[in-house]
Amino acid sequence: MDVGISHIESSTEQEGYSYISGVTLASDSPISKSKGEGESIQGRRKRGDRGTHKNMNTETMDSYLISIAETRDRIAFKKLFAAFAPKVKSFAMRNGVGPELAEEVVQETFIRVWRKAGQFDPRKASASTWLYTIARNQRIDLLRKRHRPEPDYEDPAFIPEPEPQPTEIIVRSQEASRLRECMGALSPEQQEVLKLSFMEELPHVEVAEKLGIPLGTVKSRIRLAMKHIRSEIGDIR
Amino acid sequence: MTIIHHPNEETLLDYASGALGEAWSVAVATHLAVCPECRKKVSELEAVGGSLLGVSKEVRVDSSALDNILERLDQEEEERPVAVDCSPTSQQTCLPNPLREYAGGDIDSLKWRRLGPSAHQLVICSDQDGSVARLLRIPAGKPVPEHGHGGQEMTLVLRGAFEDHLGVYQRGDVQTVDSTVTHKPFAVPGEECICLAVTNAPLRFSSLAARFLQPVVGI
Repeated sequence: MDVGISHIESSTEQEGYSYISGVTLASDSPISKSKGEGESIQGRRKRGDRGTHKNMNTETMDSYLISIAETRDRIAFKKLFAAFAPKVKSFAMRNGVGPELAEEVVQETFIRVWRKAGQFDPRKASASTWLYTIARNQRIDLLRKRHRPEPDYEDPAFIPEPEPQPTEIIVRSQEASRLRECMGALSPEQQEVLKLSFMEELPHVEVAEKLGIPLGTVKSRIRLAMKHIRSEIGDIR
Repeated sequence: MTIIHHPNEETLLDYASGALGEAWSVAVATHLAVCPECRKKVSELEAVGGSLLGVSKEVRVDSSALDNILERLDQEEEERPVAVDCSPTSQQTCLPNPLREYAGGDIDSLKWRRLGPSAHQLVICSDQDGSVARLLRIPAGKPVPEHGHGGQEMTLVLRGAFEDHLGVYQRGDVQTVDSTVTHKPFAVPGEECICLAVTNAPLRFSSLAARFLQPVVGI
């Protein structure tokens, strides 16, 4: 990703969604307004700072996925695509991956969104989390040319969890905003480690190498960050 | 049976982010199949990934991309696949998926290879970086020769139990050790121990005889 770690500044919460300034670049209509990949980061960042966040409302995104699953709703699919495809593309364009391959990740991701929408369960994950797991798997399949092993819920040896209680279902929708707030409250160093892990797909050993810090420091940042996050969303999950 | 020993947070993070190599991921995913507690942790980590994706910067997508996708969806709707019956069988399996698929069957149908005088092994997956996942079958009460580690070792127990100075490990338990640890695990008496061991460097056997045998058995 071209927005370097050196750009990470203090947290900003003015827009209610931006927790790593210099990394968060949203616009309210990504496809029509974006001027292309050659545009300077500064230019995009400025517009992003002015942007609103109405397209990324968690419950709206969840409802798009449910409409796709239940009525094969193509309008909802187009809206979901408009909101997420530019993010999935930037997510795929890491470590020198070119735009063409990234487009392939976007296409394969959204084909699977359509096919698997019936498996989306808002009680278990928000739309952005569900989309993240699909995009991540496509990134592994297409860019790393390898298979991702996952547990199989149909397997007789699989041990299921207890069904979520009704109260958990009601508060699940709050999770995304709670999580955003909570991640904004992490130290810049903790945010940096999580961002390198998830967006750059670096194993924690390489995060330590990249930042030039001891492995133990990376481990403790991960553990402290997740402890904090779990204490905030633990009553929901 | 309660699982006591779990993969550590960094390993679960690397699995959730997709950065963990395939051989290690087989062991983590197989542990997840039997451990709701760690699945919950992974889903929390994935929620962090989802949150970061939600605020990540945007790169303009090709104007034709959506049309291409919709066209493919049209074709799919026409050739809707027939639903496959995938209702679970009641048969008890020793190897949970994804491990059973990687191995190509359950314990008794596998082509094991001798490892030392009494144990057996089967390589399940090897990564380009030298990481290897292998199933080990150790007879009840028998030891694995004392060894240290050139790198990381992760062991997931699937049947029986093994014990070393760090503790007792039963079905579903995961032990993670690095180059600082030398141990002499043995299968607990009463039942053979079957486990999945992942390493990223050859083991360092303490005894001369075991070292002598190492090139022959290939561990």
